[in-house]
Amino acid sequence: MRSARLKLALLPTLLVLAAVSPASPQGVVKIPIVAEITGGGASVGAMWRDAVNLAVEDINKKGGILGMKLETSVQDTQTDPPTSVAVMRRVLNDKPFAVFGTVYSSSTVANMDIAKQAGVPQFTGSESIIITQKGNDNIFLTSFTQDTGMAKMVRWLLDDLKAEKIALVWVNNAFGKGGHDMFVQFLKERGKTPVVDISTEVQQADFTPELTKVRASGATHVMVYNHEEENARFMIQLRKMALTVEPVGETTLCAQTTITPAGAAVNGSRCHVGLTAGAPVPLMVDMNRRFQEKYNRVPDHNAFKGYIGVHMLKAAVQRVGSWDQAKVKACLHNNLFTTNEEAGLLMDLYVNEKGSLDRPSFIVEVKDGKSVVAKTVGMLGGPYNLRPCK
Amino acid sequence: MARARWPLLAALALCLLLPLVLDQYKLYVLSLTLVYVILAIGLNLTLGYAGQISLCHAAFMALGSYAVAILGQHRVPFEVGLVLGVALAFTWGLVLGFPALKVKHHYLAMVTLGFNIIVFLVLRNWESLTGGSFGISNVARPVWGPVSFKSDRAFYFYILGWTAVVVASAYWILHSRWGRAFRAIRENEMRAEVVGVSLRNYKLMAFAIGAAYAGTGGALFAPLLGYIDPGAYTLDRSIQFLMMVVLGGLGRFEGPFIGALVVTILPEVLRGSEGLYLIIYALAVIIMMLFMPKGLVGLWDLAWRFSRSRSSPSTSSASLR
Amino acid sequence: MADFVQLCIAGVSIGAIYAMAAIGFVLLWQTSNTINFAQGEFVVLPAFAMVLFFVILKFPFVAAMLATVIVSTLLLGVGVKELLVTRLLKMGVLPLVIATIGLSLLIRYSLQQFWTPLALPFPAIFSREPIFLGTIVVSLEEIGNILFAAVVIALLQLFITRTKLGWAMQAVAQNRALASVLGINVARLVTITFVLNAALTAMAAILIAPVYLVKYDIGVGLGLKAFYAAIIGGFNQIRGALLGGLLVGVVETLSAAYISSHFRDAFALIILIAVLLLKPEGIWGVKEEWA
Repeated sequence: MRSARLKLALLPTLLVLAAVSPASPQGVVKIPIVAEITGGGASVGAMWRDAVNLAVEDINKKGGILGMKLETSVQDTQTDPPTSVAVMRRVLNDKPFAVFGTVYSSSTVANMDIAKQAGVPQFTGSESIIITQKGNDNIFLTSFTQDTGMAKMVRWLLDDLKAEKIALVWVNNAFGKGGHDMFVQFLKERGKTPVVDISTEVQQADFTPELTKVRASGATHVMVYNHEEENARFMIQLRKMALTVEPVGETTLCAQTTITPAGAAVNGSRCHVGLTAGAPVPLMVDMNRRFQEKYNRVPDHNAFKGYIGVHMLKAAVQRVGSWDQAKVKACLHNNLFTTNEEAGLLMDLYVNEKGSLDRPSFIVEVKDGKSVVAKTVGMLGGPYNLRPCK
Repeated sequence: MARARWPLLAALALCLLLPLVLDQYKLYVLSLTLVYVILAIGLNLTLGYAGQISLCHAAFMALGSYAVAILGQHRVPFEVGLVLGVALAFTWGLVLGFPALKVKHHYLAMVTLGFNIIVFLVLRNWESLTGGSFGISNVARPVWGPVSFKSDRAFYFYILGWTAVVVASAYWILHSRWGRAFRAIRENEMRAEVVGVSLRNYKLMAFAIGAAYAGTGGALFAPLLGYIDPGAYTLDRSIQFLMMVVLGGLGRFEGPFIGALVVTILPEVLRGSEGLYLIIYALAVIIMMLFMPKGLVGLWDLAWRFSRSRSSPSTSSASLR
Repeated sequence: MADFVQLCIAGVSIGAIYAMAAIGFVLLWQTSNTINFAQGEFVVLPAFAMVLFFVILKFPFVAAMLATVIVSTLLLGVGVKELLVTRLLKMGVLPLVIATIGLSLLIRYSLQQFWTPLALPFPAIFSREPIFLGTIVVSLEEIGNILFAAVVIALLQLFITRTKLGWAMQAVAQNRALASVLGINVARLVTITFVLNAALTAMAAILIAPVYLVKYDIGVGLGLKAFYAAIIGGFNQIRGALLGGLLVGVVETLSAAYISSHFRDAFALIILIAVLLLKPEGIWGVKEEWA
């Protein structure tokens, strides 16, 4: 009797052990995707996943990298940091060459040390400064960190737009706080402070308190730094209250995921963006078209990041000339990669010693429900040198 | 009741031997499961045995996590942080337990839910202490002089030690006067009072002890993950624990073990199904409530009864419980 | 001062929506002791239905509205009552609470998984043209929302106080056993309450869709606010829920503007806890025997 019950008790435990790792066929390099497929980050993770898959398909069509085909698998973190750690450990069991993800910084901070211990290079969609501040030489961003982005943003606001009084509205989480701190710091370096500095919540519906404060401050520009849906609601209400202040922002304000739900309300906003589907770069136009053909939706910045990330790996492996993780990591740091060498990078990019990027970016304006590139902004630093890695 | 001992001892033996053969990933999942078992035992005590709904288990957990993380930054030994965190959680459990004396389910649900939100806001906004939204990185693992629990395997055994303490103490509590009192409260408050159970103290204790277990789990959770931020302690996580306990079986000693295993492992098993497991959980919770209020333990009972009736058809199922 | 008025208008406009959800909440509690943790999702699901009928299938507005109400009352009214509540009602409050938590997750994740994780646009129902009253700027949207909610709530109040069914509902709310002895079909009344609630949340959904945008997770905050509103105002009175809804909306808006935007989510909660400690039956509620 007891043993019957005992067996039943052990059953679930045996299930834990049942996970088997499939044997890999010859000539295949594994690059698992660890992303936010469900939970709060689902829309972000889906873009990242689809773009990484598109990049892999493109690369494999052209014969792979050094004769090896890439193979992805998707692992869901549920947008939950502890789960992301579990998932990261699992994919590392299969001895992948590199890992793609996660995008949410709270997950990335939790799981990046594990990839580092395994020595498996990690390409992340996160942009938060807390990633690069940790001195991890194993992680590679696929875009600017917030400090590079905000440095360019402030330069554009003060030098080009001659913004006098700037109001700052930001979402109070790790993303918004990171951007807020950098923005305020760079403004301070130029001897300025925001005239209004007000935080919002994720899932906030009504923005009247923010808007009345912005109106009372007499701000000429309002820097809007929330997530996409909140930006959409904010802009709708800004137009409803007929504020004359000029809305400016970063990637999220002029993203298609803001424009689609907000409609005409976002028209007239201007943003500094790292990556955009509307960029007048032929390579990006082409990728944009193929992404839409395959997935029937417009790629956003997270999609471009995923696509570029895989090609960063490709460019580095080709430059090294072998599948050696340590060499590839060393090659990526402090190095310039150009589209002449690898078209899939879409734009020239420089990877600094922290794994963050510098590359040209864009000033866009939203016109008739589309973000239109008004200007291309060069790299923040440089000129950079291209270093061989063989 | 004593028969629960054998599966427990078997599980303990398994937990001792398994890590020797497990890889890093499975070891981590098992560690996380143990932490969740501790947390679920706490909630099972409050909700399952005493019938007090608590939607702030993640907040109690946060108290434990932040206590060890913050003190760890100042090189205070881990156990001091743990004890402090548990004491904090226990105290807040008492404070929140007070409304439980006066009000019924929906108010209590609301008070605890509100407490969870307020704790989240304080963790996020009290930057000088908690690091705000950026959280605290590199949460230290315990070190006893020359013995270090820094490696994953060593820390697993450390967690296992605490799990054993928690399980044993819960076992003791539930088989003492207390456990009977808790059950009496859940079954029928009025009758409980008539038979002389001092409702006031027992209700408070059911809440506070549950909270203290959550604090213990939280204290172990932080160094297991290495990084904590307020986002890890939202209402969503409290609801996750609720599901865990319900799925396992409310008010059953085995419940938390099964619930924690299922919630950590099901997504790992169903990895191909992407978003579906959340829907599966939700459906399972509803179905459990409708047809199997005893949770998965009920299923197990059924299976056991079945296997028994095959071998000795004369045994009546009434002897089960 | 102008800012203050502006903030109050915004608070009342959003509070009116909370109030509608809160009233449904209270109705369910009164007649069937159901604490509906899925109330937020009861608004989200009709909002998606509205997108389906109005935006995708391009029904005329009134037809889309009717279709939404029908879908909502069938699924969330009759469906939930028959499949969940009938069976669970006998087991006490707790299983039903847990089941509705499960239901909220089921609706939320299903919408996310099978429809979209993104926010869907929804055209404005009322004009958003700004109307200037001195320095106060309002639009028909705010005023329309408030009026629409007021009409719905007034009609409901009429139904409850002036019709036989309404009286029967009140009787059940006061004493189920007695009502049943008096020959009232309690089970049927519970169904009617669920249908009423579903109709109410569908109305709230129609108001919310343009303001909140339609996204699978907007029900989380909304359900919470409705819950706060019901408890603050009084869990057993429609007027209490109305007052609570408006109060939560206004307090939220004013405190974010004047006290602290970092803690904006805490102020309604602080009122709630104060109410629970000082006057557990709510500001405008009536003491119940079991309280």
